[in-house]
Amino acid sequence: MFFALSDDQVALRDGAAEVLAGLCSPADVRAVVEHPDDPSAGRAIERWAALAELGATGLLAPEADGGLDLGMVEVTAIVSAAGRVALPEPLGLHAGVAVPGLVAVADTSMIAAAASGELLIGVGGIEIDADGPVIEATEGSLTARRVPHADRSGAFLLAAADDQGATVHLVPASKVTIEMTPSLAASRRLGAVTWTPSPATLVASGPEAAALIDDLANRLCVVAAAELCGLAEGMLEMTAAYTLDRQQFGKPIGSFQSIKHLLADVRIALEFARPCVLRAAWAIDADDSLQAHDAAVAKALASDVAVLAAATCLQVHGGIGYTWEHDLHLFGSRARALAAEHGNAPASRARALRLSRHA
Amino acid sequence: MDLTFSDAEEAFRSEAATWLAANVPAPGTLASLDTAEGFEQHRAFEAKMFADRWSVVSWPEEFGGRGVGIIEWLIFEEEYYRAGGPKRVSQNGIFLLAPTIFDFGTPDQQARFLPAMASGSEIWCQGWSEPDAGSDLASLRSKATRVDGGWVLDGQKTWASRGAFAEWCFGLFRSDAASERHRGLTYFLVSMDSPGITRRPIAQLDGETGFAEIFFDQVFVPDDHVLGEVGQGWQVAMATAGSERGLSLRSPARYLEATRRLADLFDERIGDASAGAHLGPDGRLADRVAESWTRARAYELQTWATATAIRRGQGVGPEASTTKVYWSELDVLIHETALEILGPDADLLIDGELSAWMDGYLFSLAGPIYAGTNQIQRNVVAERLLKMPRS
Repeated sequence: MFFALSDDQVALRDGAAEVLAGLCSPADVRAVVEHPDDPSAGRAIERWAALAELGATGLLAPEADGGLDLGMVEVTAIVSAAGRVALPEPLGLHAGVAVPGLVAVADTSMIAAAASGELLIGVGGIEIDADGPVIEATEGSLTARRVPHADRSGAFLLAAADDQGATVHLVPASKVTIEMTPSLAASRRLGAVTWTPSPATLVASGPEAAALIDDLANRLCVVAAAELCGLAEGMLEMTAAYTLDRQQFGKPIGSFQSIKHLLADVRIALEFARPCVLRAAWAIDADDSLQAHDAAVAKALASDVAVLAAATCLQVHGGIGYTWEHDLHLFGSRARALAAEHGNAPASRARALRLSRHA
Repeated sequence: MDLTFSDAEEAFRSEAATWLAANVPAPGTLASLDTAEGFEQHRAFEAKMFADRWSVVSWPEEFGGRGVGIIEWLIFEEEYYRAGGPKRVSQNGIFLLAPTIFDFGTPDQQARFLPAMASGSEIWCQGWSEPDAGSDLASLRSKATRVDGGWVLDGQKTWASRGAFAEWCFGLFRSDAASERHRGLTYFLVSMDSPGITRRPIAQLDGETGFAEIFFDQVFVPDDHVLGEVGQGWQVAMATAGSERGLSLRSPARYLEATRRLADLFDERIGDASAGAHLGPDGRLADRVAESWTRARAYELQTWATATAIRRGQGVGPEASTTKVYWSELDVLIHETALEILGPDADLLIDGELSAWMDGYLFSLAGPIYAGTNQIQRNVVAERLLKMPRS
């Protein structure tokens, strides 16, 4: 029993946090939001290259393909650090979901490029509700909605279903049409990916595809949960600092108990959400029997804490927090959007309860 | 990361489970802890546990324990609640006072007090709060006056759980009359049989007398019943507060078990709770059952993280204040949800007794108050973890 990050894992996380502190300021995130069609806006290219250099994009790829051959524990540690600065790029989806997906289907054509960060892989077609992953069955073309950074992805790992059951496909960008879909949390840069399943794109079917989709769904929950905790932490830090500066009635507002108790509630919720994310990440790495359960628990707790943090930190900031000019919304809107993805809190906890009782 | 248990830990679990299955009284066979009859029944069970060395597994063998670590202690707690073990009548002693005696007590004090506490032959109550010193504990006024060979105590303590029946009291008294606030306090161990002590049981909101006021009128306490240094009582007491708020008082197994019973109750009365918020008119209740479950799981996992930190020698810091708020409010959520499922019948007595859910609900309402109110804990979280300015 050792339930904590190792020294190496802490060093890896801190290394990523240091890179991000230098290359992901609120001004950078804002530039991505305000210039959605400029790939270099907000130092995005430089930042992605620095994360790749650190090994973050290839954490789960084999060493032979230039990866670090590590696990979801490392992915979530880094993704939490990314959430803390509201990183626009879908690092968790790429490194924690797409790359292990490629490894699982033994695709040799793209792993090395994906691990090095040169090739961004999008993930789509898996919705998660209280019953678990749901795959849309249809004939002809399919549309995977809300794929982050769809226009900058070189290929997509997409789920579909035919009359034999679920299937998984690997589709190059040249074989899809993409329509970027503006959303409030604009740093996510979502697109709708329309594609047609074919034998040429099929990489998994039958029980293998069903198991892969379950695994990808767990990973989707866990990377979202890690990012949500990071976002909550970022908002909480920003807001606690603000309460020291902002004076009313002749003293810092942080000295008032009403303000302390609001922020204490966020800190308490975070204290209990974080171990859930760590446990869920470990469960995937260890192929533990509770992996689906713990992924749902993590998503439930992390969604709640991020939404709580967004609302509470806005309240503590008051009017200034309600402005476009202030940075808080860059975090808050992303938190609310991610909380709703891959099973919101009520759906996730219903799923967790079901798995605990009817496993 | 390694969340598996070793073979030795699994063997310990199975030995504990076997003993508990054979010895835990059937549900409903013990009267309430807050009655004279129930107090003695619970004491008898403590004695049985102690005889087979299950009362305080993490203590050294010389004091009646098994000398095992925190991981085994948590395993024991899991099995204890899974087996339906009763409330621990010795809890003020073994969970709150004992950690302080281990840290600050002399070898003689350890030998004198620890085994008797663990066997249930001496039950302890806590003498901290006073009528005018609750959340503001440092304003306490009960005093200790130096005399030959010891001290004389005068004053009044209140809200002493188990105070109606306990044999001993641990408490804080102002030993330096000129001192203020946190300075000049001393930590005393006081026999409740001492001349000059009057206890007045206080009926709780359920009508039972679980706690008491204690009056001290010229009560003599010998020097060897001072715990820690004279004048250092606050520091000594805060070490106990850390234990109380931390993981030793309320282990997560208790909430996981309560939530399993809650989900069973929902399933019996309404339907499948795991249908969650989608369950039409009952969806909100189902969601609360599911939330109870995920929060209990989160508390369990945070406890394993804390246990790891303790085992690495990192100790428990102000994070303990987050824990106390979390488990106490989770307990309220679980029981509130159960009462809502039961509806108006929850208020009815069964053979003159409260239903287990109503009894548990009333007990849960004390959680956000005792061991430092949750408002005080939130101040600690804000000031010490978030570095917000003191008021």
